[in-house]
Amino acid sequence: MITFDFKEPSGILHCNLTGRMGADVCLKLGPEIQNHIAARKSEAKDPIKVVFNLQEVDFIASGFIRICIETIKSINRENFSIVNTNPLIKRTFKIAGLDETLNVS
Amino acid sequence: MDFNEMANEFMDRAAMAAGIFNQLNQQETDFIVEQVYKAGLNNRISLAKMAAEETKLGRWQDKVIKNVTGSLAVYDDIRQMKTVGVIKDDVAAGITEIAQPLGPIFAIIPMTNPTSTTLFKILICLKTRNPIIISSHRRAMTCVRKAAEICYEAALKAGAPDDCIQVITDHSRDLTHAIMSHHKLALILATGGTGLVSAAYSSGNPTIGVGPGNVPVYIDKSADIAFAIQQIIKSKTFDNGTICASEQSIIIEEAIAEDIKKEMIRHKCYLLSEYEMKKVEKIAVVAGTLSMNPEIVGQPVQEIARMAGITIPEDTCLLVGQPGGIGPEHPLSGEILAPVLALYICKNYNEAINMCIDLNYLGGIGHTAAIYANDEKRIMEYAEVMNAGRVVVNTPSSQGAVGGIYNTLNVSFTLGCGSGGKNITTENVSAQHLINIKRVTRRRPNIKWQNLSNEMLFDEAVDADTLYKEFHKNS
Repeated sequence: MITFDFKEPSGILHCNLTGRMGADVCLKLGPEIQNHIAARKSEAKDPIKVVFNLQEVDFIASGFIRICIETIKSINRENFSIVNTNPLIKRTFKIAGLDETLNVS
Repeated sequence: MDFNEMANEFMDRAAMAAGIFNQLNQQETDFIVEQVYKAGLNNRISLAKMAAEETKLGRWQDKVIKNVTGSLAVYDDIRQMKTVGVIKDDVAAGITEIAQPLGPIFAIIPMTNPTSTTLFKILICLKTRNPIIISSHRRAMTCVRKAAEICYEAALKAGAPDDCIQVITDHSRDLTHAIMSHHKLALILATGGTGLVSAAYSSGNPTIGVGPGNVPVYIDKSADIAFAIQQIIKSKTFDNGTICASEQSIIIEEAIAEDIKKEMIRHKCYLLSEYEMKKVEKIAVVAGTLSMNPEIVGQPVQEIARMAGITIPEDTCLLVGQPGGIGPEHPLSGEILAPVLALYICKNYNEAINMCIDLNYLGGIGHTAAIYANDEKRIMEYAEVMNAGRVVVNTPSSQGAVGGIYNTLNVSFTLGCGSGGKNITTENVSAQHLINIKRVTRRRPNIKWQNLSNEMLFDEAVDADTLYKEFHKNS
């Protein structure tokens, strides 16, 4: 599940994710996130920032990493971050060698 | 794209798979392994036919058995193994063992057992949540790729991460070396020729390799001779002798020589004359060396006879020569992965066992030795002097060494040969070798230390015996 929260003055799009980011979920989630980002980009004057909040996420599948990579391709890498990861998810990004690329904290 | 960039791509994908894999629990992992073994087993025949056709080695019917071993028998061997999370908890000792995956594994596949080794390596990697990158011998690329695709499809359906199985399609030496030495690689599982295994060891990454075999079989006077010959033939002719644990030389005492020869002839072995043996020797190895001629590996006995220019009865199953000695000037004393055997007839027991030692040390150190005997003392004497990871008793060595068919050894297509074969283990390599074990150690002070005072420790006059006694004092 995902909810979006766009903070107008800062131009930050918060994507609050909950539950298990399994392969099936990611198939639907990917286009949803991309559409949302595209819509915000078209509205905003300045480049937008995207933050994935994983506070309520306990598993990520390969598909979720794909979503993250697609997202940094659509905005600048420095404008993307992943926050509130639990230690198991943090370790997943670490082992995958993506914790720095995706600004995971 | 250059080789380093290609290697980076493979390794980045494997690293991502490793990250995702780390989250799976034992049940999820086991489900993936179960689905993959079934997919492999369901395709055992088509893969066997592909392997035989592409490599032009061995018999597809025997490759079916190999594929069953590489899927069903391997699965049966590892299915109850704990490979995720807490695998052992010793409350009294205060030590909890936690299994962790190693990370991406590079698997080298030989052309002698291509699809079966692929199935085996994929299963043990998945069981331990390690992504696998496969590189096959160039003469087995298509069948290996097909086997990997079948497994990958099943793994993905069962919830495995993307890219948990990758196959290298570019077989350049540069790419292989770039991957073998890549900083993101955790381990190389090197099953192949000596050159490739050495290259893997030189890569700087941990390697589990194998060594060459040169399996001597001692048939003792106490053995059931008819049974022994029947078993040896069954083993040596299996897949036209392509298994590295197959028998290379039979060593016997004079006293039973006639009985042995009679049994061999009864079982359709062809005893080569010296003239014929010389002709076979010429095509068996590269001239002046003990390196077997790759052209005869896994070939049918009739084809070998044709290549050697000799005529043999149509129903011959095995060629048997009697070399005059051991070493490069006697090519049949070395490893030949084809239905060709050497027979050594010795004056007595000691001479026979010494002959076995010489053969064992002639290129097969640490691999496998075999004995047929019904005298436990003889069996243990033989086992004591052989330098082998496995000494198989009254068992066809091809199938016996692989495990799970005639004994309870781990089922494996990667047979460790210990330090003699320049390997880290003498075991049949399996899933237990593909995990890091983290030990959580609780405080359990060793009270013996309380017996040693600082005064004693820092007094040069207090000697080792006194300290030892004090350390173990029960007061």
